[in-house]
Amino acid sequence: MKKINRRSFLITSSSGVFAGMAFTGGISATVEASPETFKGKLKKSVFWRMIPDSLSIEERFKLAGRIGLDGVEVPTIEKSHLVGEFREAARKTGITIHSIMNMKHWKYPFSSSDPEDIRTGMKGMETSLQNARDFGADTVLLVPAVVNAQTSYKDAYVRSQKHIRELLPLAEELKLSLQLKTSGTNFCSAPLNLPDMLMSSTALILKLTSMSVILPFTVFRTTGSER
Amino acid sequence: MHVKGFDVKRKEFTNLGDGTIDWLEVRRAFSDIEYSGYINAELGGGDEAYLLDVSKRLSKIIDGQEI
Repeated sequence: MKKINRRSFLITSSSGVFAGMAFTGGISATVEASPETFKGKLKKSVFWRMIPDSLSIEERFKLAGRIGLDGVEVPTIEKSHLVGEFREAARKTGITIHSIMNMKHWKYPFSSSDPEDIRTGMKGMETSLQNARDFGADTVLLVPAVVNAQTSYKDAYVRSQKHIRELLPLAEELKLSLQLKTSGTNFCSAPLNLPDMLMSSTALILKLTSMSVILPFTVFRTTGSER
Repeated sequence: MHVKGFDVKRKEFTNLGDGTIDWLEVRRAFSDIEYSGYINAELGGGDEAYLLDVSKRLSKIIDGQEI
């Protein structure tokens, strides 16, 4: 597992680093005279629902193209006739649907004690994974657990691991990444908690890349197969 | 990879570059792991002019420019 370095992602003031967040020993950023060479390649996208829904699906894809985006992330598409519409609009405009944002996980989280919730949540994720296959997307975003008055951290941890494990064979078969989002969930909001949670979740995760931007925005991307 | 702005002092979400996140440092962290993929803005919605501005802010993050 790649070691996570403690870094600061906060802008430093003249009086020092802003307090209140968990990072220490960070590297202060300085304004660069010319940008450092970037090792990798970044592409631009937005979440679908940022684009006005007064426009048709095709018009929204065209807008994405006009403003210079490479792709969009779409929410779970449950109606099969819409899947075709999205796929055709993406093909016509050259905008890539690169990720599916699963939608059922807030109301039916994998941390729930209710088996019916879990069944509904699993069906939602299966649809999201099928969407990804249909669109050629390589990522599905899942909120793995929600900690609240009804669900303790420990129970959230144990239950979410169990159910994510059940999904991984399908993700592996479809060659998809699961992107786990913890912001707003009270779960694993300290980035150093996440690698342990993810590594113990399954033996199928062979490589982990981790990135913490700023609490509570902690997004990890896992691969279902070794690169 | 989702991106959005945040202001630590005010404890609220902001547009990209309007908060206290050091995007040059974030870019450096992405580069250190040789990340290749999408940076996906998840912000409030708006009209085409607003979305064009968001797209330009994403470009500045990618290019290592101040937003």
